[in-house]
Amino acid sequence: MNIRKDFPILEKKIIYVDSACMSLKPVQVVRKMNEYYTDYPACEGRSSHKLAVKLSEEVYLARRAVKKFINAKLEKEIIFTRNTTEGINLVANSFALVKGDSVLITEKEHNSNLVPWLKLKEERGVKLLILKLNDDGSFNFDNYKRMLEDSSIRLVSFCHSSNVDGVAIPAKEIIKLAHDKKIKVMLDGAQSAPHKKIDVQDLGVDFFAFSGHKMMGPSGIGVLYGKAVELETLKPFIVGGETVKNTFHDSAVYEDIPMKFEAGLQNYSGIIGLGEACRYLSEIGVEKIAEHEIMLNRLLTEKLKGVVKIIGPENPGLRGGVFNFYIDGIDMKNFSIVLDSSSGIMTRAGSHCVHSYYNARKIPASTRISFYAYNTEEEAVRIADEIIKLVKCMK
Amino acid sequence: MICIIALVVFGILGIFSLRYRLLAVEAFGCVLRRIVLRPCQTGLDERARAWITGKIMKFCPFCAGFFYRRFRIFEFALALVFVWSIVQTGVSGYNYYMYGNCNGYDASGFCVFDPAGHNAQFTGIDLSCGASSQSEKNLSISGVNLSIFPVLNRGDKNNVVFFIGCYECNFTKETYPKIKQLIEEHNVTVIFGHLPITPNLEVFTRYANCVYENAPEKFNEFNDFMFSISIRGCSVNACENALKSARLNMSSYAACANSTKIVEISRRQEDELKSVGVYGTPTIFINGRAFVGPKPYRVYERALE
Repeated sequence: MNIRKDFPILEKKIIYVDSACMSLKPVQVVRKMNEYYTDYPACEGRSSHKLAVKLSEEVYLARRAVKKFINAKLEKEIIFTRNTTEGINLVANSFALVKGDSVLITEKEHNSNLVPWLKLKEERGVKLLILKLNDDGSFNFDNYKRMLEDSSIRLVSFCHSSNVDGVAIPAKEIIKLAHDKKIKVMLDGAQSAPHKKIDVQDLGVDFFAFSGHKMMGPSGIGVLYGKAVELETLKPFIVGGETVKNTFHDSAVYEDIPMKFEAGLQNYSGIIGLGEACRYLSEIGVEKIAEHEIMLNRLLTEKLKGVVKIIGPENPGLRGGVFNFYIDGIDMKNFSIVLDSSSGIMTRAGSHCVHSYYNARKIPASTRISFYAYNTEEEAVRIADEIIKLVKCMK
Repeated sequence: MICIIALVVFGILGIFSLRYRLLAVEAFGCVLRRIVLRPCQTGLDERARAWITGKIMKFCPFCAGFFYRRFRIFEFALALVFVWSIVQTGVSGYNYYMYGNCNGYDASGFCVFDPAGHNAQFTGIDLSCGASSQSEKNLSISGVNLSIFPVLNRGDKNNVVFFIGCYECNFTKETYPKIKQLIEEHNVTVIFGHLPITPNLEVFTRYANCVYENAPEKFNEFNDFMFSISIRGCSVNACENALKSARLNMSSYAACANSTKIVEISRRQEDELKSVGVYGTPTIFINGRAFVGPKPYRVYERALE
């Protein structure tokens, strides 16, 4: 994959494998973002001068690029948010959940798909049900089916691909089973959108949230996809300018979707940059990226078999670009710092915002290597060699 | 332990950079917790451990492993060395303040506050039988007959300064104003002994004695002039100019300088100075305590009663 030239930072002596946290940005995205500030730094949808019209056009094109990227049916099903977390919070706060209703999540959720529901539990008395997975992190359909029998469940909210082990859930089947029970489904697509071909229509998912910063786009921009029919029923979460058609001193007439969810002036540079990132990824081919990542993961897994303990299934094909591991007797946070300080290998260590999962398994911390399209085989080999060397040293 | 070091190091670096300021705040929190015997929660020590290990790893994996595994020992040793060096720095600062030398009274060696060693410089003298080992501690004026030396100021009898120097010595010239300041501010009694750094400068001793014998009120003016000019080698002209400056007549003083009485006084003075064991100029005795070389004014001041 000959795209490294698009990432000037890689010319430095670094091996960046923390893309599950924050991906690098190609120059095309950065250029497009700058274009907003240099060429048409205006307000969208309010003013009618040339710059504003140009901006409106660019925002529309970005929305269309995102729509195409996840194969949504309509542009208005794309709501720009700050990130995945905000998208999930929007649904949590806008979906009509009342006391006695239940939300089902898995035991491996990122805090962004756990804490909003815990808050609802505290504030509204909404029940939070936790689905137990298999020991290797894979999805347990028996448990799922059994839990779906609970008639109080109104919403299933699962992470599509886990940031802990990279394992993706069989979303289509899961969604179908939920829909059979008239339960709506939201997917946390923060880790899947950058690495998997997403087709929301084919999946049939009701809500799908993802972030720009993990898919070579800017930080501070994300998307909440919702089926138009579902979005229409949601009450707006954050309201204000641009979310209303008209206001009186005692009432407000809300805008149609997606406007009613996009309050205030937007992160236009981010929106435009995200549109460019979608185009950039589509050009490379997300399927091709996924294959590349699995190839790198396989290489690393083979070399490190028996040296480290991998979190998740042994088969790298199931873990995408994520290689998350720990070593008994070694502080993994230290391990990551040493990797960076000695070889410029940039990983992430800790509980990866999934404290509940780590606490339940009594794993204090792990080091996560997350590949992306710009990583190479040479880098994977170097990482493996350095880890082997370090383990010998630190044990 | 390493938090203490981090606090001081980052505290200093933090003056110049926000990055280090944040680390200093973190280290401060860590130190506070350690003081009350609670573990440091910031992980600063662990990060430091890992970061240093990584740096060592680049050139010596074995050493890196050794350091990582025995970090606590290194940390302890480092902290001890650090505390020791802090104490030493304090002591050095005190010494510099008190004696103008980091290493204490009567010590030599490098001093960071006086890197050129200026405060310990002096013009060496070889008085053959007089000079002993070069140590301020060995110098003593007990038994020396101070009454035969000219007096620059008759002031406080409890604070007696015996100022030994040579008109041609630059370090003496540098010290002279400080002696005058002592007179001005503390009205100390100052006795002056001219010690020629080379034998051919002995003529100046005789001229000084002549002035003191014949016109003691002009002695200060004579000295002021002699210490203010640059004398290249021995020159009677220097004395002539000094006498002119003090409005004294050269011809009568030329005869005086060669008189038996003055020659005898000068010889006796030289003998007394030899018995002191002076090895360089300036040497200043303040209430019996010797200081060789031009010390900061505060050092002289602190030696007063």
